Amino acid sequence: MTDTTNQTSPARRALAPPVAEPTARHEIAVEINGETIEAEVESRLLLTDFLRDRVRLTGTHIGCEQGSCGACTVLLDDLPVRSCLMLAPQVDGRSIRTVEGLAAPDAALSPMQQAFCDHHGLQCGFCTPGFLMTLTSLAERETPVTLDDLDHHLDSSFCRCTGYVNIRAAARHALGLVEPQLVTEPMQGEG
Amino acid sequence: MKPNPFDYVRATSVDHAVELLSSAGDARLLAGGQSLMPVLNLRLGAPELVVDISRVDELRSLKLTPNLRIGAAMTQTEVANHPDVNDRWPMLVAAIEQIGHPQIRNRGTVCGSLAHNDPQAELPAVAVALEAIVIARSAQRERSVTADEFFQGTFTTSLEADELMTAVEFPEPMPGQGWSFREFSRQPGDFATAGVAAVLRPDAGSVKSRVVVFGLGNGPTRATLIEDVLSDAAGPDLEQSVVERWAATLDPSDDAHTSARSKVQHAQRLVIEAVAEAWGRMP
Repeated sequence: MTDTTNQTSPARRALAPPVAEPTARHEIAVEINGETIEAEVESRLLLTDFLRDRVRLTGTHIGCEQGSCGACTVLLDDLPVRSCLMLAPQVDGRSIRTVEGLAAPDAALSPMQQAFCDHHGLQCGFCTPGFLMTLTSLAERETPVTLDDLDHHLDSSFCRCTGYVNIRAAARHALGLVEPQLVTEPMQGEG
Repeated sequence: MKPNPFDYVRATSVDHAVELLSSAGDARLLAGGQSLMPVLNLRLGAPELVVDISRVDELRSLKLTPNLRIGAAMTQTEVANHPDVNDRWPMLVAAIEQIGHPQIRNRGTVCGSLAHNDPQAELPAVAVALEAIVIARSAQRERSVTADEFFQGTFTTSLEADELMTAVEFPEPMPGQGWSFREFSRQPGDFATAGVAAVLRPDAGSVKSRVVVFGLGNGPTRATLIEDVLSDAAGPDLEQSVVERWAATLDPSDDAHTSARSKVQHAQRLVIEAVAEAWGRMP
């Protein structure tokens, strides 16, 4: 291995400009999983990238970056939101919960996480953090949750492994919802 | 992708926001961001300045006067969860429930959806059907615009570049009003392939109606031919020949998923169903 620190040749300046043009920067303080994090962030930094690259919480995944896939879902003041559709400077003074906040590293899994394990609610795991955050907010909701509510929330994340059957079983179990007797209905196209 | 560089300023008041809006060559307002952020992420837009109005106190209000006045920073979830809104403007709530997913509605605003005027979006059609009024402010003046005048075509409204839409006002429901909101989308949460917002009410022996279709290319469009026929109709059943004559005036284009012909067929079916449902809801 060559030691490059003591080379005598003059330093050469890189040709390419910085990847990010300097834009306005903002001092933010945000509570993440109960801990206050202070950071300087640029205007265009997405909340997803802030969480992953700057706070090193890589459980929040980046899928489509246009709000469709749900992999980046986090809780903002306890409500599920797409973190790819928010800017880091927007969350100054707010509270964020990510999948890392559901259970301490050495503690038992949260009931929703445990249900996902028990019912094999994941295969590759890419979509799982988004599902867990959305379903955790549903579990914490004060108004009663129905199977319809659950299905509407399951709609909002893409899973390409499981076919949703096991995810739904896990969520039903964790939410204490009982499947009614199967009724066959014609396919509905209404959206 | 990631957005182009821009400056971000969180506005502290409406005055501050309109001042910022006129200070930059290309400034965009950020309320819920559920339309703007995808545009920025895909680099379809590259503003110099993003003005965040989501935390302006003056815009975080929902007033019953008895009209319903919704401030620009009120999210769709907040509006739909309000008990009085559900009681008196059920069509607004029904339409909001068709927008995206819960996570989108937790950030997306009612006013933002109107100002964006996506031709496939639900709320512009509801605003036209319910005869809503848009309130716009610039550094110089405040003005009110009727929904009919506000929406001017695909992604286009009568808002000027230096204007901020501060609120939308939905009038108190008229006595005897029946309503229906129906849409077809390929899967729940998608934009509508076609949709209808219909409001009917008895008016001195005839029926006054607003039947507004959307998703067919040009944003909310009144089906005036249907409305005329309804004015002296004895019942909700529309004659097939009338519906076909109206459908011939539609001019949607094919897209990657749906042919123009299929969109027209959906629109015909939805109009027939919506008129019947709204009629049935008149007391």
